Amino acid sequence: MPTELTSVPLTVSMDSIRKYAEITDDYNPLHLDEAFAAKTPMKGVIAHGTMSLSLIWQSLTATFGIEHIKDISVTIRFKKPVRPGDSLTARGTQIDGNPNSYEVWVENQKGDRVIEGKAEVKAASA
Amino acid sequence: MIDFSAADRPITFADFEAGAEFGSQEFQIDNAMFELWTSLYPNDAECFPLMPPGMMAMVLMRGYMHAIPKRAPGNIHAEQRFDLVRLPNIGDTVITTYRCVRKEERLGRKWIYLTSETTDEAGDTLFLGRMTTIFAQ
Repeated sequence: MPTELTSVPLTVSMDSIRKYAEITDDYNPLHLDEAFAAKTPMKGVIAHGTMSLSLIWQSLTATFGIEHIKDISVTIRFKKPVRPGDSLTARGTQIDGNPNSYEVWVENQKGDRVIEGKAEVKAASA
Repeated sequence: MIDFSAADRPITFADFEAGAEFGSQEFQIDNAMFELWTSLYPNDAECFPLMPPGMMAMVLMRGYMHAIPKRAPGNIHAEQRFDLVRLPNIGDTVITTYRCVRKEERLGRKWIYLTSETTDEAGDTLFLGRMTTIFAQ
């Protein structure tokens, strides 16, 4: 099993947020309406959380190959908002003493983790 | 089962009932959606004919939006878990069933804990989800 997952980048824009809204049918104004979002605790538009989560699955796919993507669990917490203009990178590293477990996260251009969690990859998948 | 799909007002924290299903949504993962997805995530084109695993969130969220079409604005998706058994193929139809397993008010916030099960047309499990959401109202 590799000790590091293949990193995967994504730059977020309002265009990509609008496209993700169309994909998920999620037109929550928190993601699309600056005037509304500015009045919320988020203080501005944020990307859909699962837009970043998809990068972790891409990282797992790039590392193990799509034919091995089964019997995998991913648990993550959305930690910080992702804003238009952010450059994201998904990363993962094997957890000491457990070759089938990876700490996974997506960080922004400042190195802040916007989501983080754990991936459990069954031995048979690798 | 609680049916929120025909509600004539936004569904809020108070409407959820722990233990109750609140919808089952059918969705075909067609080529048009795959092309839209890969226009945002070009690397995922290599997954074909399998559905890229990131699209589990698309299946989950689209079904959720249809199960609860009227929502008060400002809800926040806080945590998510996926247990992937196997991926469907592009072109397959999947069915996702949603259940509220718990709700609580904590630190002034309204927490809703949901689970989802997505199956193929034969009823075999493809993937499970667990979603934690903070409701604005």
